[in-house]
Amino acid sequence: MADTLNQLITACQQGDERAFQQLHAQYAPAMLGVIEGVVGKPEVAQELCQDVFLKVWTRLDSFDPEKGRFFTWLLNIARNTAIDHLRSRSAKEQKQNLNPTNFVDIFGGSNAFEGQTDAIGLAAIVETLEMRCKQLIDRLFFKGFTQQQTSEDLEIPLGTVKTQIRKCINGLRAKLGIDS
Amino acid sequence: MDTEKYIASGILELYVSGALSPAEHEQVHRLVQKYPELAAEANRIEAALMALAQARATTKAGAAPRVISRNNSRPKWLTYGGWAAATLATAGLISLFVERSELQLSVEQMEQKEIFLEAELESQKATNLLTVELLDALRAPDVQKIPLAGQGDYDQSFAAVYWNAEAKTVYLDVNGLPEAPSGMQYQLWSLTLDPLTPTSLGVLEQSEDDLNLYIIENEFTTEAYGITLEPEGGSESPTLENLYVLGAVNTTP
Repeated sequence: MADTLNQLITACQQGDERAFQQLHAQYAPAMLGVIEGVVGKPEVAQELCQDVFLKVWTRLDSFDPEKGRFFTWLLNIARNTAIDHLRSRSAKEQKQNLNPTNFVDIFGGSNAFEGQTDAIGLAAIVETLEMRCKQLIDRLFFKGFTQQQTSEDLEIPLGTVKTQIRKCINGLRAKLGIDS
Repeated sequence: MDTEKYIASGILELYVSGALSPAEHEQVHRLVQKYPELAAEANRIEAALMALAQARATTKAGAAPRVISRNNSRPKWLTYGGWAAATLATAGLISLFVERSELQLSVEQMEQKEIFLEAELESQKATNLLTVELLDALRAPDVQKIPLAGQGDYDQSFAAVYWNAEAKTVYLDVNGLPEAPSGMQYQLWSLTLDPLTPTSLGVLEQSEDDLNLYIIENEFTTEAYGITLEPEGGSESPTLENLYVLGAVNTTP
């Protein structure tokens, strides 16, 4: 799988539009979810998701598969684009600068995980997650907090963030059937 | 490395989520590339997070944005070839420039040499003219040769005067005199013997050619010619200790 991904990335870096479409098909649904998790509005998320992949296309030359994980690189672009959008909107509305706790908790909204893509019954799975797990996934995955920021925000020890996120994702994996 | 313990620490979850610093991320990434069990675990974490994120989207992802294909898929040799060609071209230009500079230099040198040669030619021509003139003068029928013999300590020296009485011109050949020491000059004297009266005919300026021939006008009555070595600029009367050469004019035809 890693090999095929690297081949796809190389093809994109060489300007292959079809490879880019494949990459988009593979990652866009997840990135759309991340963006919507941050901005809340589906139509805005769609627009931002297009922006994200345009950025990917232009910035892919600077991505080095030896130094970083592609998924994480992509995730950072998606999160930053979504957060930048909120910041500029916030500035336009003359609000105070956005700080991380001003985000809507992605797990807070009703029917948040009952999207039309919920073929595997994820809404039900998410429902079974402990509150602490929802908070950790929200901060670390959707909002891009560092381990340190998460530890401060949730007022739990630094080491606990690491061990608990492992436990949470393991629980998720078990329910999704992604076992080791 | 204990990969199981590493996996259990939860660092891979932070790595995939992008919650590590860039340096930590790169460090973990290298280990993931090195150990297949770490790579497999990271892929499973990624799959779980992808599924979760996907489920958060309430709409379906649309088509990929239209992008313009960049045709930079040219083979590497072309890129390197381009650089190589550019390097060669640059090297060529530099070498041309150097060559041109060298040519420029040699042209300048040639020009200088030509100027020098022209000057030398002019000088040779002048010398030649002088020689011809002298020869003509010496060949004239009424020219008298007066050898000037070395005197006293200077008996190795000699000189000659070619005297054209009609033209009142003296042609003086001093090839047999040693070079005048610095600060000193030879002075030619016209002498009448009874009583002994010296008249200066002038000092001999350092000649520019190797002929050591002087043309001097002489309106005086001369019974003998003498050359002394005098301080630069000449003297009022000859320093007799420094009389190098002396020769009497043959008054009997």
